[in-house]
Amino acid sequence: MKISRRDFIKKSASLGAFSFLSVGMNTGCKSTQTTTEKQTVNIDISVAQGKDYSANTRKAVENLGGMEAFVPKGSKVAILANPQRNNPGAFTKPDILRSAIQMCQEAGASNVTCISQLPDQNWEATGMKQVLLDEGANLVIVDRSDDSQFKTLPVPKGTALREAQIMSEFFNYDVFIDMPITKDHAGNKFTGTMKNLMGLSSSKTNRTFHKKNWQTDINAIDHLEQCIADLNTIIQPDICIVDATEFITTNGPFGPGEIIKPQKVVAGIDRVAVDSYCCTLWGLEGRNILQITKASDHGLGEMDLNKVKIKEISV
Amino acid sequence: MKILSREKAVAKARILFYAVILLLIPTFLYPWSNQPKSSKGILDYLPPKNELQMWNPIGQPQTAQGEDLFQLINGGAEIYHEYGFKNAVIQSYEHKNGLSLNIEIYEMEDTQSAYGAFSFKTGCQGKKADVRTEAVLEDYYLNFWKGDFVVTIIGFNTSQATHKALLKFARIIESKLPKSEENYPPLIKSIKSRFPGVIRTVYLEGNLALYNQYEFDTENIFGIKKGAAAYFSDHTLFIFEYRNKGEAQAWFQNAREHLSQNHRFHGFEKSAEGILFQDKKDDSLFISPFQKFILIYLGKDISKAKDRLEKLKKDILENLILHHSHTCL
Repeated sequence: MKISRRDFIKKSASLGAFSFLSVGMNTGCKSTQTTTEKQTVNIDISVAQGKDYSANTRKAVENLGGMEAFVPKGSKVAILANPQRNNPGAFTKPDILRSAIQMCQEAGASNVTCISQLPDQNWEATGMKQVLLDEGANLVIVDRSDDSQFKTLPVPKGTALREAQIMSEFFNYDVFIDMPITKDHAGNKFTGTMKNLMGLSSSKTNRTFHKKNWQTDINAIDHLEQCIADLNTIIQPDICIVDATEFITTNGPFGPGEIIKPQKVVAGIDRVAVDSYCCTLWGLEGRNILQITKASDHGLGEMDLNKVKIKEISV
Repeated sequence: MKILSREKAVAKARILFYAVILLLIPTFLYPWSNQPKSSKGILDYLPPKNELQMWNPIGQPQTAQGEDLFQLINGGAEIYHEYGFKNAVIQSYEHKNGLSLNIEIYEMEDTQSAYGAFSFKTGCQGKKADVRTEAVLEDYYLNFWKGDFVVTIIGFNTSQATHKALLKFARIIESKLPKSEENYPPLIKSIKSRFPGVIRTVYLEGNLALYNQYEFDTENIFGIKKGAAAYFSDHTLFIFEYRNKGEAQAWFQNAREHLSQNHRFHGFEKSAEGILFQDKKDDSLFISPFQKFILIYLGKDISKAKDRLEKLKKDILENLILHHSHTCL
């Protein structure tokens, strides 16, 4: 179903003042303003390092002002974690998910749900299903082969992506937490908060990211990266919590590959800054990662780490 | 009596007829079953229960054919497609003592594609594993290659028990795969035979594989379709092969233009043999077109570059050219 811009604005209004899921699209990307509005402390990237990944998560969010700064009482929270495969270093750690759910509940969330298109067995195998059961959170799995479960949205600022099918379930929540694991990606060298949003768009949409003729088309990587940046112009997470504890730096995103263990949890609102920080953990530079530079070109955030405030603590 | 025996014969024939029909029904129904037809073969390479003793499969195997690999492993599919992918099966297993592992079997288009994917997936730190075919054991996983197949077995820790299990599964799967000789791509064969010091070789069939070895550019500035990366303790060599000398020259010019405009590289020096420049990590790169090849040296000690490339020209490429006279220079 294709919805009109007007319908979309109405829909967004009905989602409440806290929903930034679509605000960027309605108003021509308010990401910078929303970042300022929501930030209660003057920190762009909060990093907590230590062996206890649960404690790291709590500390990283606390240093951004606590989960209550992002999750109003009574709100419904959607979490997009990455349960892609239970290969070591390829999925969001259950401890990080557990901590985030607990913080949402403590902040007064009425409902915390993980939304996904990946099958139940991935959630079982990665241990995240057990976390959801333990913590009384929900799991909604959208059938990715069923077009009726997706809404087609225009991407007004898109350079390569003109429209995207986003899972309808996504629009039932007030708050959106983007919770990827940062890792290698054979296609574009890096995956983080922005690439993770491909978990919301349909297989049909995602297939267009990977050009059919990509084997011969020299601009194929550029195209994929542009689509990722474009997708991010219509969806803005309220907060990003990134698993940078143990992750693969080769053979990504599925693995198995070489693993490094920075033991960090990285939180922030500015996705571009967060991704730019995360890629430095294995020797990359934000300005060499196309999805980061293209998102920066879209005005989605700051990729120059000299221009953002980073707070790093040991737990 | 005669009538009775004829009736008996007819009855027997009927029974036989129905028995044959019953036996054939699954064969006729098979193409319409949920399981893709050509995945049947690949499923057969999974270890059967009776050979696993205390191990049990977890859930059903997941399969993918062609483009559907994107559904199974998302962005991870691209590199397999670059090499030429046909089928895959993924299955998890669990031991009664709590140990578990994942098996991934990929059937590629041909042996060279399979070697390519295998070499791509294998790291520099791995150790040779005893699996009757080329196999490498890494910290927590094992890759091996046989014929058109690449197999990865993944454990969840680095314990001895996990390593033992990886080997056990690898040997069972290897014994089930079709017989095949180690048919290396000619470039790789030459490197392996002429450079005993090589730590790792990666066969390249496109820019994705190259980009994952060294980030020259996100665009395929070398127009690479066939090549190799050879890792040594203190440097890396790249060889890209083209249809003829003119094509190699054209792609060299193209790459030179792009690289000279890339902010990550500096200090360009042109010479008759090629170009020399440095990257941000102060590694030197020397790129030289030679016959239908482009040769690249990457390392800290640039004084070695010329020697290395000369050796490459003499020992490998002349040998390749001599033994592949059908190729056009």
